[in-house]
Amino acid sequence: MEAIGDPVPAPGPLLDVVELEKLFPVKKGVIGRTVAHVHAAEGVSISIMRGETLGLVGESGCGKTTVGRSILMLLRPTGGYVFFEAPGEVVNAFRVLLAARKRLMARRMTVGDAGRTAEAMVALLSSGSLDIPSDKCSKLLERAEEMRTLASRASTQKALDAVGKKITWLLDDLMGEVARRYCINHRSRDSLKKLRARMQIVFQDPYSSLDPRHTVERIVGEGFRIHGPPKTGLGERAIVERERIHEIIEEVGLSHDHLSRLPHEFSGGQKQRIALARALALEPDFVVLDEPTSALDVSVQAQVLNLLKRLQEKLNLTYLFISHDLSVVEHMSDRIAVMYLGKIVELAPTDEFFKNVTHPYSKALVASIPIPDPMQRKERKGIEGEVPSPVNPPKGCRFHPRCTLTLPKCRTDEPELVDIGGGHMVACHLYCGPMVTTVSS
Amino acid sequence: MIAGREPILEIRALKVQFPMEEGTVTALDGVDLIVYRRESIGIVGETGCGKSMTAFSILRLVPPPGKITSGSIIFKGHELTKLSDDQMRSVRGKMISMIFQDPGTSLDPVFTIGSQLGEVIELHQNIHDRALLNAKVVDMLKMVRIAAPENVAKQYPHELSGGMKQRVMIALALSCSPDLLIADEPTTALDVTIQAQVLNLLKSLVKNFGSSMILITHNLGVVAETCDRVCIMYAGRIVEEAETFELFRTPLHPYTWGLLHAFPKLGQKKDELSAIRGTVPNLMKPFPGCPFVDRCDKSVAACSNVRPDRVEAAPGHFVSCHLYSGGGA
Repeated sequence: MEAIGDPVPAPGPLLDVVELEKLFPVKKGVIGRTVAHVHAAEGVSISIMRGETLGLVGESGCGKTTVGRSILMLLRPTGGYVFFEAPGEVVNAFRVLLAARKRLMARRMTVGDAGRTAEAMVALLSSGSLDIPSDKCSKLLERAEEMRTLASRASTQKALDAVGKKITWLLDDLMGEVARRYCINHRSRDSLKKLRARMQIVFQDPYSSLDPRHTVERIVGEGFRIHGPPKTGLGERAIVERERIHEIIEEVGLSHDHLSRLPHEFSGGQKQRIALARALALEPDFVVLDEPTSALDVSVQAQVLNLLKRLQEKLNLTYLFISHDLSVVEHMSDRIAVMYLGKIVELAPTDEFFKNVTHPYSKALVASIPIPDPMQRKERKGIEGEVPSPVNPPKGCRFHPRCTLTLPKCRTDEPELVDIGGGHMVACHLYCGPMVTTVSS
Repeated sequence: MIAGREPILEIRALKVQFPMEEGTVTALDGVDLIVYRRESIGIVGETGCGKSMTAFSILRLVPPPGKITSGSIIFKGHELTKLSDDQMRSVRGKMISMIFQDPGTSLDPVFTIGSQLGEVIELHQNIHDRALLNAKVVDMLKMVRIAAPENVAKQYPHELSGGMKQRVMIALALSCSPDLLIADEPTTALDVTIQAQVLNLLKSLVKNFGSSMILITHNLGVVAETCDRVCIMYAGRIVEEAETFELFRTPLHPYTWGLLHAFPKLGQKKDELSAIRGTVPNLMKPFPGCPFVDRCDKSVAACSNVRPDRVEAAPGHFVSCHLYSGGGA
C-alpha cells in the first residue's frame, strides 16, 4: 500500500487564520432580542505549517474549542479570515492591507501611508499571484493605480480624508475578492464541501461522538457516502471503500473483526481509535484534535498519543492539538499557543516556550501544574480571582484584573501580539514598547 | 502496620461484590489499608480500579446491588460494617466526611449555600439558634477563603463557579471537624490554576484540624504534591503502598512503573511515551493470579495462577507482585 498524503510537502503554512472572531449572541425575552454577545474568540491570528502540530492550551471557557471549530467551519466565524493553502505572498499582502484598513478606520493614516497602501494594492494585483478573474483584476488594478496618483497629490488633511475614503472602498472590494477565492469562511457552500474532506476533527468525548446504532464499518466509511469513494484504488466502489476501511482500521491499531461491532462494545481508548480512523479515512491534510485524550486513563492516553504521533509522521498530517493539559501539549506540539478569555496571549515554539515562559498568565498556568515527583514539591499558588465573564470582557488587557504585574496602561490599552525574538510572540505591555529593557534587566 | 503510629482506620481483606445478571462483578477484591492519625494518604488508579468504591465502603454507601461481602473496616475501634444504619448516620459527616468529584451535582440546587451548611452544623452539633448558626456558616465560608461570605451564604449553587462550589463542599465536609476526610477526585473537574488553590486549602485545613485525609485521584502530580503515603490500586486490589518519596523514587510493581512512565512530564519531552499495552481487565471474571498479568512485561509462570502475597519489600513499602515475593522479602 502506498502512503497517504502528499509525498513532497510544499513548504510554508497550510492554514492561516487572520483576526478570527466568533461572537455568540445572548438572547432575551419572547422575541429573542440579542442583548449582548459572548466574546468566545477575538482577533485570533495563527498560522499552521504543513506537517506541524500547533498546541492550543487554555482553561475551560477560554475559547480554544471555538477556535478549532470555527477553523473547520463547524461554527461560522462572525469575523476574520481562514486561509487554507493560500500562497504565502497573497496572505502576507492581505495582512498588510488589513492593517492599513484598520489605520484608515481609526483615521491614523498619513500621506505616506496612503501612498504605500495604494502601492501595495498595485503590487498585489499586478504580480499575477492572485487567482481571481482577469477582468475583475484589471478593473481593480485600474482603480488602485488611480489611488496611487491621488494619494501622491493629496496635500491637505481634507484631501487626504477624501482619498482615504476611496481607498477604503477599494480595499473592501479587493479584500472581498481575495477572501471569496482563498478564505474558507467566505466561500460558497459547494466549494467548501470539497475542502471539508481534507480537514477533519476528532472530538473530546468518544462516548458521544460515535453513533451508537452504526457499526464501526459504517462509521469509518461515513465520509465516502458524502465525498465519494477513495481516490486511490481501482474497481467497484464498494470494494475500494472496503479496502480503504480495512487499511485505515489496521492503521489505528484495530482489527478487521472489529468492523461489524457497535461502539458500545469498545473501551474509551478503542473508541477514540475509531474516531481517528473516521477522521483519517478521507485522507485529510489537516486534523483538529479537540482534547482527544481528556476522557482517557493515563495508560491508554499514552497509547493514543503515541499513535497520533506515529500517524502524523507516516501520513504527513498537520494537527491543531487542543488541550487544557500543558504536559500533554508539550509532548505533542512543535509550537504552543496559550489562550485566555478569547485571545491568544502567547505563542512560541515548544522548547522556547518552556525555557522562557513570558506572559504572566502563561507563567501562572505553568506554575500551577503539579509535577509527579515529590522532590519537586512546592507551594503552587494558582491565580487569584475568577475568570471574568466573556460576555463583558475587561477593557485593556483581559488578564489585568488577576495579574500581579499590572501597569496603568494595562487597564486601558489592549496589548498586541508582538514578536520578542525567535518566533516567540507575546501580548503583554510588559514586553512591548519601551518597557522591554527594564523588565529584562 | 507501622510501629509507633496510631491507626485511625483499618481495612482488612475488604471485598465488595455486585451481583449482576451476567455474573458477579468483584469491585474490591481483598483490600488492606491502614490510615494513621494526621496523615494524608493517596489512592491512585485508573477508572474502575475500585478507588471510589473503597471510599463508598468506608461510609457504607456502596450503591445497590453492590454489597460488602467480607472483610472488616475498623474506625477508632468500631467495626463499621456491623453498625446499624442509625449509628452509621452519626458517623457520616461528623467523624468521617467526604468531598465528591463533581461539585456541580453534589450541592442541592434548590437550597441556598447558607441553609445547606447550616443543616449539617445543626444536625451534628445540636445548635438550633438561628443567629449562632448563621455566624458559624459565615465562619466556615471565611475559613475556605471565600470573599464576601455573607453574600455567598444567601446565594444558590448555580450562582457560583466550579472552584467556589468545591470550596463550599470543603466547608461542608470540614464543618464538624471530622477525624477522617475522604476527598474523591476533589479537583478533577477544576482548571489547574483553581486546582492549585483548592489543594493548598485542603492541605492547610486538614493540618489545622488535625484530621487524616484519604485523597483519591488519578493524577500522579496531585498525590506527589499532597500526600504522605500512596496506594496504587489496580482491578480492585492495592498492588503497592509506600511513602510518597519512596514510591516515586523506587516504584516496585510493574503497573506503578508503567503508570509513572506513561505520564508526559513537563520539561522532559521525549519522542515516545512508554504506554502500558492492552486495557484494564473485565472485573466479571475472577483472577486466580495477578490481574495485571496480561499487560505485564515481566510476568513469570506463577503470575497467571497464584495470587501474589502482599510483602514488605522495604520498611513501609508493600507490594503484591511475584517478582518480590520470592526470596527478597
